[in-house]
Amino acid sequence: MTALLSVRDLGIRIGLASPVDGVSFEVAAGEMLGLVGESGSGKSLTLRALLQLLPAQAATTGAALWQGRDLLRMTAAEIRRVRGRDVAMIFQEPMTALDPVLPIGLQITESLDVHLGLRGAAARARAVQLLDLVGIPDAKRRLDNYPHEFSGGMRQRAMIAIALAAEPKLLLADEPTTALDVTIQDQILTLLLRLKEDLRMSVVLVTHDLGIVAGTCDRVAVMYAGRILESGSVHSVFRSPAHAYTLGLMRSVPDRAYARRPLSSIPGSPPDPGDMPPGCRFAPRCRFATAACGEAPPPLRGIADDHQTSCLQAHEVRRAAREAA
Amino acid sequence: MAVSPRLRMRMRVRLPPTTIAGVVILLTLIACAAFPAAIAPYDPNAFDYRALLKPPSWAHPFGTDNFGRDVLSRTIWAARIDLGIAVFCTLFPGLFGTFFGCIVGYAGGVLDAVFRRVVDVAITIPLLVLVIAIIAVLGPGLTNMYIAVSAVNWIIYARLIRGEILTQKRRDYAAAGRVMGYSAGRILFRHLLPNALGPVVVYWMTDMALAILLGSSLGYLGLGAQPPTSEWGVLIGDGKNFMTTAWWMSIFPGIAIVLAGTGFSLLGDGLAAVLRRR
Repeated sequence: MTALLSVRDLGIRIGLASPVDGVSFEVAAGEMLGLVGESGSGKSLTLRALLQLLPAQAATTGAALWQGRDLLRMTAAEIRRVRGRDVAMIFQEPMTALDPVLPIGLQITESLDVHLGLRGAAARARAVQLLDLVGIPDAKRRLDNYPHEFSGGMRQRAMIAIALAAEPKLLLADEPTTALDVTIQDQILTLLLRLKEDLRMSVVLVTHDLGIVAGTCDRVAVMYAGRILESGSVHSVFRSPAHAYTLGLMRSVPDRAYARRPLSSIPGSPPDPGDMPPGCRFAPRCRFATAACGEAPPPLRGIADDHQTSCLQAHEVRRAAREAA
Repeated sequence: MAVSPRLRMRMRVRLPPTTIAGVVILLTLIACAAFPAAIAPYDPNAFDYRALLKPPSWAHPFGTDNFGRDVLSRTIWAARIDLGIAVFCTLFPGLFGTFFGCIVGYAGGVLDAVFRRVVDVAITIPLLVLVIAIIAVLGPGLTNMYIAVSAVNWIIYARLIRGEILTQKRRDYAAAGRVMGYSAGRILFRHLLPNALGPVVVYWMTDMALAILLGSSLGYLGLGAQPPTSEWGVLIGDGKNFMTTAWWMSIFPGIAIVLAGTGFSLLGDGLAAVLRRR
């Protein structure tokens, strides 16, 4: 398996805080990777760092190799050529990410013009195709609509159409469905899955929703306090979580089977990015923690085929998971 | 081709009566400025010593001045000069100020800091005083007045658009443009500028009214248009010595100034309402 994108030991420093530290993951061609974690775990920052979209005061370390070149060290002109063309990104807020004064069609043809040099009738025809592709009915007429004439779900579809205009190899989706109704969420995710298959595109899906990851992704990386604690195939990670945090997350998802019982939540709150615990960052909240957990940050290690965890107590965690099931 | 429902919907948007009034006033003035010879009953500069300082009558609806010139004809011909003032005193400041304000607003940094100091200094000095000071150096006359006003007035536009750009560039679609790999120029002029332009367009209307007032003031003071050119301010200036005996010499050009100002203001309000609705 050759990686399309290979992130190695990515760190982000903003002032004294390091909200992302030692993050490594790979994305294979045609694969959908879920990056899960709670708010403030650094998953959005990680995504933004890949395209150099962090505020100026943030500094990055490590590398993000894209076709043998490091995205993090590219010049402004180089990264601009990657943005939108090789790697596209969609956001959580489709309501505001479209230019309010330009018709949707113009915003799609603009992307076609900039990235592919496609203009005029050809660009328009392609724009209709793209709107069709993302499931906007009556695409030809909709082209002349302004963003305010679209609903939230339609706008997210339009955003995806714009992002797909240059046929990127990788789509970074930053909580693309969080702002949408549940029914629309499902439609958008189904659309992403279909596009991934049809266009042989890779997707990194950032979300805090484990259900979404389980339903759409091939592989998953669980982030907490700026680190990846566990990663692997969705099948393996969800079947037998090997990190205490992952297990805690899964326990705190409402489940029909345990209806009318109190939800279990993880006690405590995430650490302050300016004052991280010295060992495993989850250790202070972990019920499996031992003295060793608090000493040095445990590295990720393979425990099965395509399944890595940094948990020193992985064995105990897996047993607890099995017993609960 | 059938009219699309969208277009029909647009056309059905009713303009408020005040906006229509503004448009009618301005169209009337523009007609005067475009075809003064056809509309004015007399040559504006022809002396008639048999009819000096005649009050308004059917022959001379606005009366005559101390040389027997028809005040109505002079007021109509003056529309050409005064609308010219409205355009030429605001065109360069509007265009350059908008461009410059876009650049400093988007770039920020040192350029922006320097610009803010310039603004701080410029707004402490009243516009009229600054313009008079420049004219004092360049000499009186219409062209020098345009130069003086342009040299000062663009700062106001630049300040206005800078603020708008600062707001717009923090909005998500600006970030989305960067994510799409668009160049700074494309994001700034194709996406941010159209979104930021509303207040500038509205101010432009107000500024045209202000420019006419300024031009008239300078004409009255003898620093703008020079006699015998018909210009409303000059006409009022000509009449000031006859105020008690021949009020019509000053009052009618004065009314013309008020009308022009009202027209631009009403149109500006209408535009503001339309832009807000969007």
